[in-house]
Amino acid sequence: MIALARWAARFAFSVSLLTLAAVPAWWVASRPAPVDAGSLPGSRSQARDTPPAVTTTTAPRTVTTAQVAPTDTGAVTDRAQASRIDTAAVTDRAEVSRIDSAAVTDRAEVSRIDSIPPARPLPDGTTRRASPVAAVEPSDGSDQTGRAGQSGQAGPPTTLAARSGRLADLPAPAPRPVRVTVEQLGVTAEIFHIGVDEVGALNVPENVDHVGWYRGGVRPGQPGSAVLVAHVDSHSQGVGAFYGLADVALGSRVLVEDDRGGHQWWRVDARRDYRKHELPIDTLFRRGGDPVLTLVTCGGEFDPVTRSYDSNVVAYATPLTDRSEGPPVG
Amino acid sequence: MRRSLALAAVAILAVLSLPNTASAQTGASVYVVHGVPGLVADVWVSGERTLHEFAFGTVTDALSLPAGDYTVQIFRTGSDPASDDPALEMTTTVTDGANVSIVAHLDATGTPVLSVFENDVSAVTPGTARAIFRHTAEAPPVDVRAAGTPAVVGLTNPEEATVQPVPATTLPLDIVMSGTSDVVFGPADVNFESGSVVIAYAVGSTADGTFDVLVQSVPVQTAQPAGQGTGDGGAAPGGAADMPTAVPAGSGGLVDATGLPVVALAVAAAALVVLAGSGAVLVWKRD
Repeated sequence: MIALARWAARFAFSVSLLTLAAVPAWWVASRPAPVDAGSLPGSRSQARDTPPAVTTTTAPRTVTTAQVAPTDTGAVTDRAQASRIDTAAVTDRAEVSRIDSAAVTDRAEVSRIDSIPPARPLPDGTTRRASPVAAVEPSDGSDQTGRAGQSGQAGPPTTLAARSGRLADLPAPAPRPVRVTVEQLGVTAEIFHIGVDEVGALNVPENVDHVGWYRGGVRPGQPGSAVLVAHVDSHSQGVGAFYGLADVALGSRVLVEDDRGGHQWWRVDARRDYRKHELPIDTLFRRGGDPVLTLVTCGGEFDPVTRSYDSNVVAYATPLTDRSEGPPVG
Repeated sequence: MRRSLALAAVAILAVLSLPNTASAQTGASVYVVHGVPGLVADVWVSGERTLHEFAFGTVTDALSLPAGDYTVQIFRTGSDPASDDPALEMTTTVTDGANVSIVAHLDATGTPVLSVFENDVSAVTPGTARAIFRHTAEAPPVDVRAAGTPAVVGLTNPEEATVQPVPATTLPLDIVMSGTSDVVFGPADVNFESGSVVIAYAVGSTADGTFDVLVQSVPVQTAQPAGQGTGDGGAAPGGAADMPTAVPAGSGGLVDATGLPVVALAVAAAALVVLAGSGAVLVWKRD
């Protein structure tokens, strides 16, 4: 009996010793691969001569329910055009703090637009100002100023360029992104045009399936860094559009489609993980220099008390200008 | 040798006597907007013809002028400035750094007049724009709506209203008789670029079908001293102060890249207990 007990004890001792030794090895092996990979795309700050052209097609490859029709001159009733403003920003009191939201009667219709100006003037939002007193009655012949016109100085006015100011004659705005596909994540997400809140943080779309394009920065394809951001997850909605961004492989492709049916392929060249207080703002929101598509989400260590992550995960992508590197266009 | 020295001296003196435009005088930017239906005109500024066959609906580029007094005369094209009277005339004082739009338009009674508006070209927060609406039409008071929501209420001739921030996007705007849903213009897409100032003029008359809206986008003053006052193409002043400060993008905790896995810790703890227990048994049983 005692021998059995001793044998059992010896066995248990050996097993537990082995287990203790194995745990550290197991922990090391199970840690995720480091996020940082690849070299950052060129970040020369001087402007380039011409940005890579954004390829355009007449038919988008995919159609979703939120497809934005190309803008026609003249009549516009396509709510989708206005719907590019993220829903969340309406409820974000920071951004709409200067807007009297009570003035918005039809929340359902306008709720996807942030900072719609109020119906009545606010102290710091709207101003009224009559034009300075300079309106002159048409000359009735008794005007004494003469037609040569004395003036204080002989200014050098030259023949001035002029153009029609009618809306229909204005040049169409450069296309804005409306949809993004990250191949490796198997995600296609609608892009909303976001701003910042009152403390300057990006108004990331509240819906974790939505991606925000920072509209205060450059458009994808223009010189500089175009920023797309999405929640990695949320406590109420689960995983987000950019869940898995930390593992997206270098060389994998991203497709951005714009509101005129154009599309541009990008290739992920680098990944980085930054502590939030070390986020390189100047790099992320660079204006000028090579066009870069910058995908941002959160990662790193999670604090369940504040419900926030301590890091930002960033993927940098450069334009795929060689069509052969992208799949055939439909 | 002496001759070339003399020439050099003259040249230096000539250069020194030129007005120093780089420092004290920044000049002003002046735009002209044509909002009088049925009038094709030539615009003379202080005795110089500046615009020829200027037609209704036209907006000029910025005219750079040194500060001073100017007489602006609108002659109907085809009339003789030497013998005919101008259709419209005004004298205005332009100050250093000013940015103004001179608008030929109908007043509330339909009489053609000239008005000068000062343009607010101070910096605009990136991601937003400043919209300025000017009622320069023969029409009753109007409301301007964005996506059906009134943005300006009760605007009358010749007033203006500034609205900001406007999200930097394309918005459908329309104009209605104030307090009603009677649309007199639109809805039409108006594009607001980030950091821009967009000025819209109601012009013409609702009485004869010439009512229209003209839009000019005016470059914002850059942070650096703008010698000519024209700024660059609408870009906001650069610098980290205008960039976002943070990107909060996660609250679920489903991705946690660091920290000891709880399971591993539990297993290790259990193993430690068993180790201690079995060790104790072995030692005890040895006695």
